[in-house]
Amino acid sequence: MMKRWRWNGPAGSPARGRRGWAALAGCAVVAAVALLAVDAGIFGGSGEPGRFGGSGLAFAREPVEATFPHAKHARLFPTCQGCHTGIERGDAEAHYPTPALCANCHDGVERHTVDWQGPTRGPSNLRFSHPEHIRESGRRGEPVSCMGCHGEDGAESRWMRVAAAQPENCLSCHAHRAEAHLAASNRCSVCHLPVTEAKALSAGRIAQFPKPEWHESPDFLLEHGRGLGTAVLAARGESAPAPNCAVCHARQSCERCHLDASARPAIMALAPDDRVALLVRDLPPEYPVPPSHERADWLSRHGGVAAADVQRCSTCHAASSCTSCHIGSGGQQVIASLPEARPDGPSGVLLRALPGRLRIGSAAEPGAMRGMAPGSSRGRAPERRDPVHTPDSLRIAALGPEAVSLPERGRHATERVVRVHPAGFDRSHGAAAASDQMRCTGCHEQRTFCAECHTGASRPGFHPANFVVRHAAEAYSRDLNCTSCHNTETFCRACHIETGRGSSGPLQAGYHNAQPLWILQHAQAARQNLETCTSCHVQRDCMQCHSQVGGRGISPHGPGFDADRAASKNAVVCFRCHYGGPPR
Amino acid sequence: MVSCKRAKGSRPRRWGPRLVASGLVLLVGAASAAAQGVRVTGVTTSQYISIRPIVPDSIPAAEVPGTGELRRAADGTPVSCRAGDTYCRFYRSADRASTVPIIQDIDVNAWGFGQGVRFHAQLRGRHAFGSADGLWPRADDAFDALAVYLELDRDRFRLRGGRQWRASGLGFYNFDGASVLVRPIRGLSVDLYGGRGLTRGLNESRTGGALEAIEPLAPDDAAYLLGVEARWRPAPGAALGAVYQREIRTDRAGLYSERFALDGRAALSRATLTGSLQVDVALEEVNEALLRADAPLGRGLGASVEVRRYRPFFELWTIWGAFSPVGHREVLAGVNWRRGDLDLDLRGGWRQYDETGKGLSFAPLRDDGWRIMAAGAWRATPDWLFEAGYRADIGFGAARSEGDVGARRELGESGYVAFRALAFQRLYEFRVDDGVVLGAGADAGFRIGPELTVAGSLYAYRHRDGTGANAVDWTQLRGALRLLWAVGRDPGLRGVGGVR
Repeated sequence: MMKRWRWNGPAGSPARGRRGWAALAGCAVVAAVALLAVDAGIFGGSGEPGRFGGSGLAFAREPVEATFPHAKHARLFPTCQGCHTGIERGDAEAHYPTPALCANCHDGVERHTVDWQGPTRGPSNLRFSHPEHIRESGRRGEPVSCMGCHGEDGAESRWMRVAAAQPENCLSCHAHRAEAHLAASNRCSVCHLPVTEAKALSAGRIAQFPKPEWHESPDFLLEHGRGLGTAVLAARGESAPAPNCAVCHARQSCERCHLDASARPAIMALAPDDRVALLVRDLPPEYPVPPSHERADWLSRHGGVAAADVQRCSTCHAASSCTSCHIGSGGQQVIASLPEARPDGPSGVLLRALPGRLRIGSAAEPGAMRGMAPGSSRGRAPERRDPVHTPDSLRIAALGPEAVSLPERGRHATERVVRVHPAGFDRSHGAAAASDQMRCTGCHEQRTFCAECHTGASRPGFHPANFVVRHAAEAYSRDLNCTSCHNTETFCRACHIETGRGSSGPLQAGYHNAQPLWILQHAQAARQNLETCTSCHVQRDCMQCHSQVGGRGISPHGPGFDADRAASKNAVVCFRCHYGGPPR
Repeated sequence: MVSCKRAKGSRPRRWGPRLVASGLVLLVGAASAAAQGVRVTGVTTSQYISIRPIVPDSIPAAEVPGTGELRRAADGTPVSCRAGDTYCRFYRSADRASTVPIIQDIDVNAWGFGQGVRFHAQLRGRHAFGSADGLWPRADDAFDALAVYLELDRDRFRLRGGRQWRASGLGFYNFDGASVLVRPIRGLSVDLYGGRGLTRGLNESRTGGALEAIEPLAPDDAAYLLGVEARWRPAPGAALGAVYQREIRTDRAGLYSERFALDGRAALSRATLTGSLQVDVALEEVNEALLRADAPLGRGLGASVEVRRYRPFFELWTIWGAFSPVGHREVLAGVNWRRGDLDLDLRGGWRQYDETGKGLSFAPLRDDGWRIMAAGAWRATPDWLFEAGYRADIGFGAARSEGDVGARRELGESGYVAFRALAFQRLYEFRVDDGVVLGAGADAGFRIGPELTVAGSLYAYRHRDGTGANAVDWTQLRGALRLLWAVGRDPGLRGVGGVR
């Protein structure tokens, strides 16, 4: 019950005047004390938020002063243990004072009552023991003070200037000399439980785990398997810390991207966790492009690299990634050792070959030409069933429908378009195919592939539209060797004869009507491009003049003609023009 | 007009090929029946071709004004009037002739006879309908066996027996015989092959009658084909291939060809070098020598440079080699730029023919040539692709200038529709033939089922003759229809998808 000050004495009495000055002086003293108290923080102030530490637990980030104004009580409590009696002996129930303890003073008489219930103890993944730290520090002769971790300024803090313990406090003692709490060289497992063991944490809380800055490194995705932190320390000549991944990651974290997760001991060493699975379920996988893949010769080199160490490929590539091109005999053993895409997991990076030549009308297959733009480096859930592979436009029309079916795909598919052959390869592949056919058969089925063009006559799509009208210039220039696909006599000449351009029977005038002296000029034309002449003329046409047998005997031989050599190879031909065989 | 179907006096080919065809079909059927698994893929192609052939005609010389051999008739038609001839001659367009050739290609693969044993057949059937069924070459050849062989393939060797074809630095050759390929060490293969040689591009013996129908002086003897080919990959990105081949008359009276080819390819750090050499060993002539370099320049740019020397090859049963044909040298260069949805290609070249020692110094024919090509493709959206191109080829014998634009629309995964417009002009050095041909049309393709695809095209062309004096009329309608199908079991290849 609150005592009341009473005003004693009638008005105007001397006693009443003396009491008035005394009262005024008393108020001044009280005011002064109050000012001093405020300065001392007893009545609270702008206290900094802090945490209460406890064995094995860390509270949510609640401001310390918001729950208890330590600075206000600085003169009342000479030690921390006065209220935090359970710290030294590890009694979690006695970590904080009870409401009854506070009521000893805050009884409503001496002090106002307070509603003290203690801080909320949230779940944590901290691995910490006060008794252990106290014992160990004592054993080392370096007694640790509470203010060392819980003071605003560490051990130098003013009494009862309390703040939440920071991870940097731990780093100051623990001997891994990490630069910062989340540094790559830190040993997270020293202070933190693996996420799979911090079962009290919710998925939402796990999602709030801070991401170390070094995870944002451009090389992180490519190097994390070898331990980016390890590389950092190795560069400094230091030993690698214990694995840290398990503090924040469960097995599903890796299975989100790794096709070969089940074959990786480091991944299988991580325990699975449903909460982590929930968090990563809808996250698309990320597949950075290694620098090696961007080399100009990667297409020719990747086979050897894969054969030497297929594990380098199996993280990102399933077997179906290779078989988008490799349906021949090449590389099948290596491909067989790659994992298959899981229906409930990522498909990895699917490669799609870009047609060697983009020409409308030459590709008679649906789905061709797709994916001309480079594929995204980030996986995405397919909005619709993705288009089929885009084989080279040269072949697809004759390949059969099975050549364009898509392999089975997982939930997330990352596609990347690969231009296997350079532009114009359809017209310049001869030497490459002749020398490196083993490489061709890695992707192309030799038993039918070459014949689809080189047997001629039935393979539209290689030549541009209406080539029958346009082909004269190309035939003269011999940009390509027509005889690699067509027989001159039965294909070229037959068509020319049928359409009236070929010579049949006696030579007639009037066809070469652009050259007035054609009879004298045709020799130059014939020497420069005899193949074109033979596409219209039979041998007898020329023998009318250039043969001694029934002709005019005009020699067609040039200065470099070796008659003896020609006769030694096939004298029968000589008899066509020479009586009695080749002249001596 | 002479039909190329069969020359007079030649042997009738009615029963022989049919018997062979029947035998092959039975063989294929038997093999398929005995096999553990069979897969048959087929491509059925039909086309509509409509052309106005040219035919010789004449006009009384008295009605042609002027003098000299080459004159123009009153209507501007160029005519040839030889001295002493009462008629001047020329060529004109005949009535329109059309044909619909149908070609059926069938590929059969059967396996399960034992480890590494496979039966393969590649067959072709043809027929042509229409008023001019000879318009499409070889349409009268109802049946062709491009390949029929039995194969045993193991790690270290591969044996093949039957009709087979080879693609090598010498081009494409077919033969009936056997081949033994040995892989002694990784990266090296040696292939010995031989048998009865077939005519290149014809898939028939030289004495089978097909040549004789066109060439009165066709070979009178068949040929044996013998050859050896080696391929070696000394290092990743490097490859070398060499082949030596002979075609010998079966009576051993001479050769039809003796050739050697060397091809190589090397991938350097950024560039790729490709080279090839073809030599006519019989006549000691280099038919082709080529060196090409491709290199990326960064930022999506790529460049290529090629130098080439070419001289035609003729088989020794012809007289053509005795005419001392010369070759030409050529330099080609190209730049390609690819970025995102845009693909641009620019190429050009120049060639120079060797000295022939013939011709008229005061009226020489052209002995050089050049060409340029520019093409671009732009994928505006995932479903729309736009393309345009231009090409000019100016040089000895003939020249052309042509351009085209097109657009393609993907209809989901199962189909596409494309439209194209084009224009081209041809000029001949030795013949008056002018005018511009304009064309437009559409292509479409649809996947009807997992094993069935149909595609087709229809184009119309109109020949605009500027001078009004051309004999040739290239106004025509062209159409094509293709059906791709497959039946049978999956052979278990890992390549369920992808390129073939």
